[in-house]
Amino acid sequence: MSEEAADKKTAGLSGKSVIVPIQAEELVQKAVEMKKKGLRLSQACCSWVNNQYEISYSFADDETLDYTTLRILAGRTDEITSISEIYPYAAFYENEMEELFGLKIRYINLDYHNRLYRIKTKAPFLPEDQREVTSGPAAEKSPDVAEAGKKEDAN
Amino acid sequence: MGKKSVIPFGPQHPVLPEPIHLDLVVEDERIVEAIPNIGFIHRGLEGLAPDRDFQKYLYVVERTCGICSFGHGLGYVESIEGIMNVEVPERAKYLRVVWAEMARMTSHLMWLGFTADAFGFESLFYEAWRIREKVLDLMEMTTGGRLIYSVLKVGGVLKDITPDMQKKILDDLNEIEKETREMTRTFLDDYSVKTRLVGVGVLTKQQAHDVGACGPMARASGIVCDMRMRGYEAYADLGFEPVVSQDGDSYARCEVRINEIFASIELVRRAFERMPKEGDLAVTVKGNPDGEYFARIEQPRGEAIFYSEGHGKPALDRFRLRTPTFANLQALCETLKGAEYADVPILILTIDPCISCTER
Amino acid sequence: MSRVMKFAPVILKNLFSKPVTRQYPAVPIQYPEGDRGHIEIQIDRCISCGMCVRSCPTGTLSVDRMKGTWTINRFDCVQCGYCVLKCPVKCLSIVPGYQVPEREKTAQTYQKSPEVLKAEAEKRAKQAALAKEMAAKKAAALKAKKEAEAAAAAGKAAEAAPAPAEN
Repeated sequence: MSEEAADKKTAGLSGKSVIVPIQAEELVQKAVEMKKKGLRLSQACCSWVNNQYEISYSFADDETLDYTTLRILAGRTDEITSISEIYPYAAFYENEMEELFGLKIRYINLDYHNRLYRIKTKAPFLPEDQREVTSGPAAEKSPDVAEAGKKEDAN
Repeated sequence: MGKKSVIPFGPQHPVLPEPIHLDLVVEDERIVEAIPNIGFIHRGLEGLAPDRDFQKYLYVVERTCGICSFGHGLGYVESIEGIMNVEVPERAKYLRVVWAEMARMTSHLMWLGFTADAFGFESLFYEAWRIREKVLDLMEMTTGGRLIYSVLKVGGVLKDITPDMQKKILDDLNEIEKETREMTRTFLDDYSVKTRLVGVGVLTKQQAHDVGACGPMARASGIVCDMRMRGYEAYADLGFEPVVSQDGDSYARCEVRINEIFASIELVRRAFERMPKEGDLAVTVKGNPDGEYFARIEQPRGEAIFYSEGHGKPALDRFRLRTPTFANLQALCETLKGAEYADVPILILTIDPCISCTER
Repeated sequence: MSRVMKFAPVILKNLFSKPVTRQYPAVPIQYPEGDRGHIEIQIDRCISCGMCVRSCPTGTLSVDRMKGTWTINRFDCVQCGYCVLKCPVKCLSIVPGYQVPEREKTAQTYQKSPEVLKAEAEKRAKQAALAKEMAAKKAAALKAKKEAEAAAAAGKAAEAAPAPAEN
């Protein structure tokens, strides 16, 4: 629905804006594809909606003015692999997501370890009951435990 | 091979208008690496969105920063109008362009002043700010505010520019153009200014693309990247053409910004010519935003992204603002590599840093 | 010469022209019309509806309906003018003239005049009486309706009762 609305509004504008849902594992591969196409990483952001993360990586094409957004849905304890190896400047966006939303991102090339904005509160943009992670990182757990963790979050 | 040492730069430094900290790895007099460190003025303005009505939140967004205030407001209303599918009246579109371009002029004139100050040309600094003051007076006359205008609303604008005001603006713009031309001759041709700018902090086209630069920073390196080319608001009707330079050094960045001032003056004139003489200023907006939208606006400092996401409630669930300086941080680090230590202040200034926008 | 003395004409011109700055305290500032300086209220026209309180982005306003007061902390006000837009009786206005600095943040309270308060109290009493009357009427009507409904329902229930028992 949102995409339709976006299309109507952008009808008079040059450049299309599309949102492509992808899996978390595909992110690095897709980023490489984008890089090969010569696109610029325009922004990356995160939001917490319906008890899950909505992560958007947007790529801009300066010639056609198109705008492609990769959308990943992730649970509270899921880990995302950084694309800062492919786009070095993604590190700032990823640090920001990590600090403001408590999203775990692996292998950031310039990791500030939650010290980018120097704030006291942990993950201030999450609802208060979500800020503390009750279980450890998903990577250390067996898949079924991770599943259980997700279900807990959903409740 | 000299000895490597780390010199902290900022957050308090005479040349910095706003706090940013850089750890400069220096070898003799040359910089090998720069690591930026922000976070001194993070206020969490994005986090205020879920507590406020979307109409009310506009005033918070506008106050993110004093210089790009109009750009922030414009991007926010664009994003909400995008979600709610609102068609803004024709006259309001042109008025928005007029104000946006005048805001761009104030920002660029301010930047010219700061740059003059950074290379130690105090009287040139005052000259730039004297001209800026005239633009600010025009803004105050039309909007009621000098820096934070609060004339936007979702669905249109709140104030009109009367024919008297229009005449005054056009008269003053002639004068401003003449004075700016006189002043910028010093920026572009003066020997001492050129020695500080030409060949300093070169960012090639390829490098600029690799670091994701945007705005005047990218345009000075030959990348044609201007969101106004998308033709939002009335830019499509105004025959907008981006200002581009090829050299990629500090001088080119200065040149691009100076030429943009003249381009802005021209756009304001054209907007007044083609603006419908009468018409509604705003349409009523009913309901709550339901959906998401990425609005892309060209602010004085470059491309800014406004992402709004709402789910039928009066307040947005998420509002995200990516400011141009945030995108240009990497470009700053890239230009600093290999630069002389004495050129650091001028290089920091050439990205036109706006740290309070960046940290929000 | 031409390369090094580019700024000289501007300096010379500035040297022989009047200062662009104003002799501030001696010469007062002329604000343009419509300048957003501070909020003013015509308190006697206020109906204490609280729209301004709900619309304020910084939450600096408060209204007491019973006492007839309107309070603003001018140091928290950001002069956005949204309350002025939202006010249904247009008793608020935004006028030129900035807030002068002070040592502490203080709230400023505006009080409605006794006559207005008295008139309002009378009006409220009248309305309350009217509402009471209406409520009594309504209650009576409702009671009658309910009784009628109950009677009808009782009749229906007697017919429908066997149906759920089958499930």
